[in-house]
Amino acid sequence: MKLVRDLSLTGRGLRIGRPYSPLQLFESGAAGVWFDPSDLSTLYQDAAGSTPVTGHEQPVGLMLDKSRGLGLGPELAEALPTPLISNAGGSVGAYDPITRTMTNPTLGTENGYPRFRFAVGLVAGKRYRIAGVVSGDLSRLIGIRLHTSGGINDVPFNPTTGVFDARQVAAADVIDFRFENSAAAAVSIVSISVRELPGAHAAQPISARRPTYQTADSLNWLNFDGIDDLLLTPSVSLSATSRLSLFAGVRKPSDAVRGVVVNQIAHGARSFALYAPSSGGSPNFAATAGNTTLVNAMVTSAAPITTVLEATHDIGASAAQGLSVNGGTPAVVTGGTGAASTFQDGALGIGGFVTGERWFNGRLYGLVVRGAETSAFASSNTTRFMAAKIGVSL
Amino acid sequence: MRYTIAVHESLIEQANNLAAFIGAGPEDMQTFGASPWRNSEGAAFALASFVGPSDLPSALKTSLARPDWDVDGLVDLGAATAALAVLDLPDPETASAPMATKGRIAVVPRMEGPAAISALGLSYPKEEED
Repeated sequence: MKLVRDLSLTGRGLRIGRPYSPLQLFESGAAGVWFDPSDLSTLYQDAAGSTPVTGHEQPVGLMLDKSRGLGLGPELAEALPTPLISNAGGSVGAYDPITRTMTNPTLGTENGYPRFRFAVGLVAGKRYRIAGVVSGDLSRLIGIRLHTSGGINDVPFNPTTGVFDARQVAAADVIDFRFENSAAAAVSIVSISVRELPGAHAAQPISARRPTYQTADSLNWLNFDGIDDLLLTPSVSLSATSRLSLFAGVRKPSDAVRGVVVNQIAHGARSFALYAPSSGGSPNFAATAGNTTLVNAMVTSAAPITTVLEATHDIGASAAQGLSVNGGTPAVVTGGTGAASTFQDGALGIGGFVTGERWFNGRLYGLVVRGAETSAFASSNTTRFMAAKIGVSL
Repeated sequence: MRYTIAVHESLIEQANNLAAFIGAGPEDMQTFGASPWRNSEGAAFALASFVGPSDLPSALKTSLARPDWDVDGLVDLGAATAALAVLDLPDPETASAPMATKGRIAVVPRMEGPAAISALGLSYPKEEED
């Protein structure tokens, strides 16, 4: 019966003639993430998602999660509302809704400013694609933000052309245009689009902590330096499941220092982690999960090694943690996890613990974390998909 | 070119201000955090490793200019200048890398992470499997 369902032309399973994609693992609504460094359309050099990765050795500040298909949500800025104008230091901001022009006709004090806040219904914590064009005296427009306080400018814009195109996390429900005080300031919003970008996208706002995109021989990967590189996702909801499936294409160049490929909630109860290697000087990979007691499933595979790892975790009543290399027979450890429970909601750390440290030294060719048990058929397909990413055929 | 920078734990604030000056935004003031690495004398260091411009060492020898992004004056120029004063760059004659030393900031170019850690004379505390 399962085979018939998977091959159905009308069902949600695998369809005849349709190339396999890990996206199919999430079509039923399963929680999780899918990262694919071979897809350059998902990589940006900055955490704001405004500068695409285009070549070898460029930093990766944002890697988009493909598990939700990269589709955009509905347009939120089609009809811009009248902005709330926040003045200070004697500024007197004004807005013309016909031309969508923001002005400040009165010169205030040195530290004065007007802010123009358009409440377009953003949800704090969600990531949005915001794109458009502004024109006018751009030397006085010092920030386009998705929040209302602090000096951080979320949305980089070209000061010559006025073009902006970013993928940024909102901290408030507004788009905030931030001006330096000037009687001459007059900036028009020529066009603007704001749409949610669903998914748990992995980012790193600190420049030095960004892994680098590398490519050779038609293969593509992120290189983590084993010192400080780390990407973080927003919270991934896994509290409804006691089961988890994880697939990763990795290269481990050395067994000298313990490294974490991916984890959720550093080294704690109801969490998981994939180690490469499992400890300093060990030739093992390890997949760890548990409730009150963490349990390691380990496979010996000495560095240097490039491989596909598949981890299966169950911290429910029939507790079992498993790990396999290149689709081989998994090492399975049962019991010892304490009372049956579920995983938690929390951020994922890629390249180290969420809290930092235990940084991974190596390459990541692809990563799937799925908050559900995965069938043998789908696991085999996903392992082969990852194998192609590391340049081997299984 | 890849650079790895070791900062003695007493200089993390100064080094973070310097990192923000040469970085892309205020988040770079958190470049150096935990300091788990130790030299042979047991002194603690924080590390950062990144790909940067090849002229970074010479650029660090010139006077600092406030970066364009810092319109709010967040970065402490005095602290960044103090970091520059204790910066150890590779010997231009021998190209030998500086060692991580208490009260100093050492910069190692061209080496990948693990090799740079070794060149700096640092080690990471050994951890057992959980």
